[in-house]
Amino acid sequence: MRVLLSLTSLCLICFSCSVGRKIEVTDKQPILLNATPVFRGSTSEAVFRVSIDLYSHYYSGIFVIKKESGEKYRLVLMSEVGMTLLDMDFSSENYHVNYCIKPLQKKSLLKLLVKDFLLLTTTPGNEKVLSVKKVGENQYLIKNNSGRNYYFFENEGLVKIISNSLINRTLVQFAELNSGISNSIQINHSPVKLKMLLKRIN
Amino acid sequence: MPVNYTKILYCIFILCTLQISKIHGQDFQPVKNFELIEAEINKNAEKITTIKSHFVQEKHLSFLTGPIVSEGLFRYKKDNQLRWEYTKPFEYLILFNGNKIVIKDQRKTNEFDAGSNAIFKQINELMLGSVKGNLGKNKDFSLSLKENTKQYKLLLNPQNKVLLTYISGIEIYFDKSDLGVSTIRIIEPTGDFTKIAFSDRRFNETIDESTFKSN
Repeated sequence: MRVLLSLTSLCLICFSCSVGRKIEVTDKQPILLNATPVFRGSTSEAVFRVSIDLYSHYYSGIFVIKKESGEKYRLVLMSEVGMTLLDMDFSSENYHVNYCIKPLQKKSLLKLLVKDFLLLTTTPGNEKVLSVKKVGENQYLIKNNSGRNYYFFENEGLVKIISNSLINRTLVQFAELNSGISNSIQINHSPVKLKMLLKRIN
Repeated sequence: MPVNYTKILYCIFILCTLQISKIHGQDFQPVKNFELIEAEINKNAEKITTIKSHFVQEKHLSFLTGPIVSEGLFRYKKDNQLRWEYTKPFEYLILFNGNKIVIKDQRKTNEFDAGSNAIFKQINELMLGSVKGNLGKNKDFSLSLKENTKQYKLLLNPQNKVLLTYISGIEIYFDKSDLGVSTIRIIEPTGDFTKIAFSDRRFNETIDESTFKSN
């Protein structure tokens, strides 16, 4: 009897949890189906000068991002003098490193980069989204497998993303918007002291 | 309207000739007297006390539709002072002054000891070696020399394991007219490469000492 009760309680807890987490897609606005402000017009390539603050260290370089078939992307980080430091393919499913210098061969760092660039490039209301909720004027909460993302829109388009996961909070700000395309993107992490500023050069 | 076959044949002939001369112009053959030419390049480099030049850098990535282009100014003063300054599309400065390397962008200035890092040491030796003409003394590379009608092409193949992870080869092009470096091509293990072309090169003009200071 005690076992039966325990099993019933467990089932109830599991059931109630799953019901609590499931939110209907009630407000999937067309604005969420627009591309993020990274790629210009019909182009699928973007080049940014980047400055990176990681704890007390400062780095700079050039990020090249290209949208390939489907939702696959190619990302290259190189130094200003042209030396490739990192070359990888990624999608929301996985990533593959084509080339990486030894000091950057850190799984956690690469995963973080992939997550950041997925935030920058993935259409907010893509098919992987679990739920969408309007939380304010031009503000949406979108849940997916990796966490909860808040998207903030203004007249010019997407201006801010706040992404919360279990151990990390990411703030992405799109500035210097021109026809909905951002020429300056800032990414701030917490509690990880990582800050990236991307300035478009192409 | 009658077709003028003579004119058509003439045009085809001109086009073919142009194409052949273009291919021939780029075709590099191994030189027979490597030591002699190396000595000639080094002798010429010894006469150079300063270089002022403009440069255009192209980063070629196989998956991109076009290269990433940046440009700037190059200044060299004998024996080991070098200013490598990007002006477009971003500002970035690298100074080699003796054993010090200073890297400056719009936000920060960092100073390194050239000998403190194996990569910086190599960059220092490569940059200065190519303008001073003493690359043959660098034991981390095996050298071979080719030529065409206008240029010598010095090929450097890394022999050092650490270097090989970054670079699969370097090509340095010297113009036969002045034996100065006109182009450098740095090839990476992936096959992608960076090409740096120097233009408006001026030798032995006065360069103020402040050029090699970051402030």
